[in-house]
Amino acid sequence: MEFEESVRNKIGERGEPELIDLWSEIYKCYKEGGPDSLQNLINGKLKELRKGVKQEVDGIKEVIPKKRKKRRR
Amino acid sequence: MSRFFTIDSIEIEGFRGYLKPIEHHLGGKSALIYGPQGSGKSSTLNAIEWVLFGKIAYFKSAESKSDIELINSRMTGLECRVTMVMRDGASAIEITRRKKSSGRETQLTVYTDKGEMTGNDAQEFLFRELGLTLDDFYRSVYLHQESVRALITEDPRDRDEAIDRLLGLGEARDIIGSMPMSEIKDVIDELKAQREKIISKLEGAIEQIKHEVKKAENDARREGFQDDQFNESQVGYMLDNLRPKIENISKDFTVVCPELESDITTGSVLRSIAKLKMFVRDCRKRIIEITGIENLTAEQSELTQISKELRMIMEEIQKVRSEIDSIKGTHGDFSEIDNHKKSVEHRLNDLKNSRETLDANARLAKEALLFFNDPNLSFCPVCGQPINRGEIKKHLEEVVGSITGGRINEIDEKIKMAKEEKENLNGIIDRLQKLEKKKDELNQDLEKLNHRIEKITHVEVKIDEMKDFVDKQILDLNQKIEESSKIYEKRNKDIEDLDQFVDRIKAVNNVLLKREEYEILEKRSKAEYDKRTEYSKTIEEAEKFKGRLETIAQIISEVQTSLAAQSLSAIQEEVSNFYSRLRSHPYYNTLEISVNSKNVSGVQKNTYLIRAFSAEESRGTHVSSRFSTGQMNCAALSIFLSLAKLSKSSLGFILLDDPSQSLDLEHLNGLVDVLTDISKERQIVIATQDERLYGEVNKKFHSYDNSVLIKFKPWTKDGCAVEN
Repeated sequence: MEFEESVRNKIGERGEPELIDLWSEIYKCYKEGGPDSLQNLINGKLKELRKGVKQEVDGIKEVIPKKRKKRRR
Repeated sequence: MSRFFTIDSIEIEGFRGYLKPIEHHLGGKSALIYGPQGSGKSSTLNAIEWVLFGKIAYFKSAESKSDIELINSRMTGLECRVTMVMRDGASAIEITRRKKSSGRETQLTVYTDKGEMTGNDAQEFLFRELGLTLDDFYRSVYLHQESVRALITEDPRDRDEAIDRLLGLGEARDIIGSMPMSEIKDVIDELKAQREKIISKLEGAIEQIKHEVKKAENDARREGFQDDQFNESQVGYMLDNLRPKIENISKDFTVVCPELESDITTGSVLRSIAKLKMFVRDCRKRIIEITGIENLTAEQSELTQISKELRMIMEEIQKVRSEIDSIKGTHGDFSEIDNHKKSVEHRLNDLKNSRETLDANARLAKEALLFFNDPNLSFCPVCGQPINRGEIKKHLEEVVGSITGGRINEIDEKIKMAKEEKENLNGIIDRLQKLEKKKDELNQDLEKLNHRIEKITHVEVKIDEMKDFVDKQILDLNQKIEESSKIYEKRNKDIEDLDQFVDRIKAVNNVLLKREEYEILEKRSKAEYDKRTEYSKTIEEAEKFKGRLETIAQIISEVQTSLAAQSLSAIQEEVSNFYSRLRSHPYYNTLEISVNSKNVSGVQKNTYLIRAFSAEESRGTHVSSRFSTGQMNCAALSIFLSLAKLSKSSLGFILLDDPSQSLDLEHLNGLVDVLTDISKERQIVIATQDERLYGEVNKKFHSYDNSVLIKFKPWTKDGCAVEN
């Protein structure tokens, strides 16, 4: 556990609980499923972010009035 | 008290090259595993790794996620098993690991003096007892041929990775490698750009609608409205004024009066405007119909045409009549001309008969003349009386001369004249017939015109009164058209006024409509703005997430470098010691490895500098540029053996897979010496196909009587086989 402990201790020195949580999550994920699993975890987080921004963009799109097509006479 | 486990025995079944169970008894002694390529040497070392950790670090199982490739495909029931017994003095640990084809999981069972453990308990027990991770295992227990192969590669990235793994830092490298930092940055940037784009579009839409409000206001002002009239009550007032007007127009045009919406919201007014526009359109269609101007104009046009045609026919009739009268005046009527023709024909016949008679007489006289030319003729051939042939001939010649000389010509002249007279009379008759026919046709045309007039006017008119009647009708129609035009203009004005009035209502309503749209958009965009603040937090969170990952990656990198530096510092002396014992380089006889951190595709990674020094002259060189692959192998062996020597784990054995690759005889002998020394303190398991190494090691180990030889036969489909 030399490596994991060293990282955890160094992160701990920064006094940011979120950082420790994220590291624990990353390390646990890696240990359980290897590099593929870790990449999936990060991609999952990116997917959530995309989803959030897409919701926002869709919400704004709804508000913007549709351009009316001029009738040809 | 620290423990020191050596391998007592290992039984392998269905694992990789193994099929039937084979047990290898080592009894804690070093082992030399020798055999041809692919006979099962590496599978044996892999089995030791797998039974301890449940995985094989260098095993690539990209094809399937179930690691099914670990199981020999001919294995009944598709299951593999490895059982290894390790001893530390009197105490023993028996480890059994199984795996089925389905799933990645393995079943671990550990037996000790104290009892049996399975699953996580067993794995945790092993970790506590052995005191090492898979990385540590690679660092100090198992020198894999892949580690050596990667170290002697010319690609610095592969070499750095190999040293990382040798130093037990594979985990750090894997984790950093799994953090796609530049991709995360790209995603966040892209999402931010997407968000900014749509926000700018929204702001654009607000500006557009503001512009539309101003335009609608200007349009309404141009229609004569004041700003204080841009309200619903103005629209209501105008619609109230409009109602009686459209009722009157509805009656005048006999078009259904539209039912206007009762309330005066912009939407309702818009619907009323649509109905009014429809009403205006219907009235426009009706306007010509109700004034009858179209029918009158059509009648007028038809009668004018009839009048024109009538005039032409009557002129024609007049001409025909004149010509008939003229012919009749000259030649009499048809019967007189016919009688005349008959008399001419009669005369012509008489003349023709006379001509024929003369012809006959002339022929007869000519024949008689020929007859009386005979000089012997003295008597009449009929009565037999004597004749005067000369007188007869003379008479006959006078007759022929009279006929052919004048009378025939005279008759022929008369025949010619009679024929011409007849032809002339035929021509007159023919012309007269044609004129009569033409007159009939013109009269029929007059009848047809009369029918057309009757059809238009519904009045029966006598043929000779037609012209006057038509002229009078045209005059009447002109008067009616004039009156209808006045009505048309008035109705048209009513409709135009109504249309303009509707446009005025529309102008004010449009202002209200655009203002409403603006208010709605402002309100909704404000609501979206509030939401946006929340969404901004999402992006902020993402930025934070990215920042945390960067920090973690940075820390991992620092730790990785620091741990590498510590390890290298700890083994430095031993590395040089082993390196010189391996008789590595004739001039550069000590080795120094230093570590740095460098940025590779946005990720900080360890990079190693291996330098060899000459102890005598204190001169150094870069190993990668100066050393042969064999010498590089010596460097790898030096690092590994140093790490193994300093390892604090409880494993008392080390595994070497093909350690002599690329070594020449001198270096190989150095390696054998080193291994012989180590084997006095540790159990060494060496897998090799190198006959030289096999011979040397076997000889040395045998002399100490502390070794076991496992000799593999060539592999067959029945699996690995060992010589007895």
